[in-house]
Amino acid sequence: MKFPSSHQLYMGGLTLLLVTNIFVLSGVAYNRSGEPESIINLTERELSLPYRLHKENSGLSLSLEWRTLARDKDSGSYSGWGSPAWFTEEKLRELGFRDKDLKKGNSYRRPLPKKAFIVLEFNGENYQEALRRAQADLAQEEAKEGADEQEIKWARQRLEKERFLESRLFAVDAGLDPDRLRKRYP
Amino acid sequence: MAINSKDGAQRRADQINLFKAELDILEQENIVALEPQQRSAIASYHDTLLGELAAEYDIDASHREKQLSLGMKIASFLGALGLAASIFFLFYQFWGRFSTSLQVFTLVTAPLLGLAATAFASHRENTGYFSKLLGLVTFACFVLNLVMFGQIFNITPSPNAFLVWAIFAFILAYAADARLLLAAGILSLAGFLSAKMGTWSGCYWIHFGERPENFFPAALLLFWVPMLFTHHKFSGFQSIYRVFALLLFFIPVLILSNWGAISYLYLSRDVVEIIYQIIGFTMSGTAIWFGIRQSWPDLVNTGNVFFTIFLYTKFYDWWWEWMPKYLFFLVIGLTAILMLFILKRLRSTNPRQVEEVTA
Repeated sequence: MKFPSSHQLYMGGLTLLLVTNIFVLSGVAYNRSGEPESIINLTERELSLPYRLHKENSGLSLSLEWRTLARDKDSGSYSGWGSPAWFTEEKLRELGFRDKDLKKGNSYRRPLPKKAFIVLEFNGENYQEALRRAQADLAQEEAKEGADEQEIKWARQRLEKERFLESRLFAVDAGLDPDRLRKRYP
Repeated sequence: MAINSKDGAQRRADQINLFKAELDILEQENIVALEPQQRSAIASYHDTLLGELAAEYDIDASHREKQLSLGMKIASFLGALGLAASIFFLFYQFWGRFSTSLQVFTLVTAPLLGLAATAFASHRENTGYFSKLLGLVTFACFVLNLVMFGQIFNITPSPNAFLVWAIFAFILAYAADARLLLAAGILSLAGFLSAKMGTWSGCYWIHFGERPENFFPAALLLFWVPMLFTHHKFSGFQSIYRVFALLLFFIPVLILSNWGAISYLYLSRDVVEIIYQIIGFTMSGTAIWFGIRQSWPDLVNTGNVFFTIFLYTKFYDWWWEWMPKYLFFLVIGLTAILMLFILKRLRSTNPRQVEEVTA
């Protein structure tokens, strides 16, 4: 078989560029067609600015901030990253992790990451629960005998953050089938 | 052997220059004395041939020209890097002020214009420096094209982008005879194949690097490509394929021989590391032997490098903790000298192979 000439190769390159861009832009147009599945209005609490803005960069990218509600309400985890109640061993199996990935004490063998769909809830029950926990924590600190002023101050700051600063977007479930998740969470 | 590549033409020119130098020495030593007619005929033939080769392949007819060519290659590479970086930072600085339509238009047009410029340069000048430079810039524009589309339209990342980049890089590499573009194509293809291996093993493709064995199929394929398809017309392409194939094999083996926990093999960490250490020593030795047998210096040198790395890694594991440091480095030095003797012995027992180039 004769090797293509440089002219044929350049024409092949041109075809590849055109076909690739048409394919990608068609996919974008298709994705944007029809009605969206859901619309939510996020605020600066859920979409954070980058840590540093470079003066030569006119673009702006925002990070989606989401949290989980800790399983244990007394865990003291206020970063919003405690292991949630729905994230169990069954859930991991449902997501495709095998028994050997879940073996205890297997800390050196990290299971390979898997693709999954996560359900995010905006300003829903999980956020309200997080707010209640912060309020309860403040009340508990204030009610203590010989209450530590510093602890009360921190508890009050956490409640303020929960009310006005922290993201109201919470991960509430995960799965492999987006249609099934959509049916469960319309 | 017919001359159908720049490499072949350069070897012929070098052979002629060496012949001229050797003939001068032989005449000075009174070993041979050519008749004026013979001398004139040889000089006329060589001058004509060198002129034809220079016109068709832009070869370096003298040492000075070789030095200048090296400088041009470096300048071409730096020029390509500079232009690609300039385009990237141009987009970086003004991107946010463009409308989406203008962004899309710019991203689609840039690689098309680059491709046109590359084709034009390839047709107009035979040195190849400008077409290689423009080819690199065009490839960078195409990568930017898809990466920026992904960011603007929030497209789910896909390993198919690697495949498309690989095909484009290969097209440009073979059209412009550019080894750097070939390397870019090889890396992109390796990324695609490894990502697919990762997907087939059940992980999300972006994390394919967490299991180094994913790179083995790409290494195997790339090693066989130059054996299945001849590359006489293309300068150094076979070496590039072989070297990258070995890198894609030995670097994962090196990692796994020291970090067995990230292997697909569900054995104890120590057993995995021993297995890969044995594989590393065996295969690097095999690469050296096969390279000597096939007269492929790239295979020999790469095998040497990795054999040495595996050996020194073992020395470190065995002796670093308890052996006095002066003794440890003495062992390293003596081992290197031993390897020198072995290679020298191999060189002297191997029949010398003179590569004959005939017009």
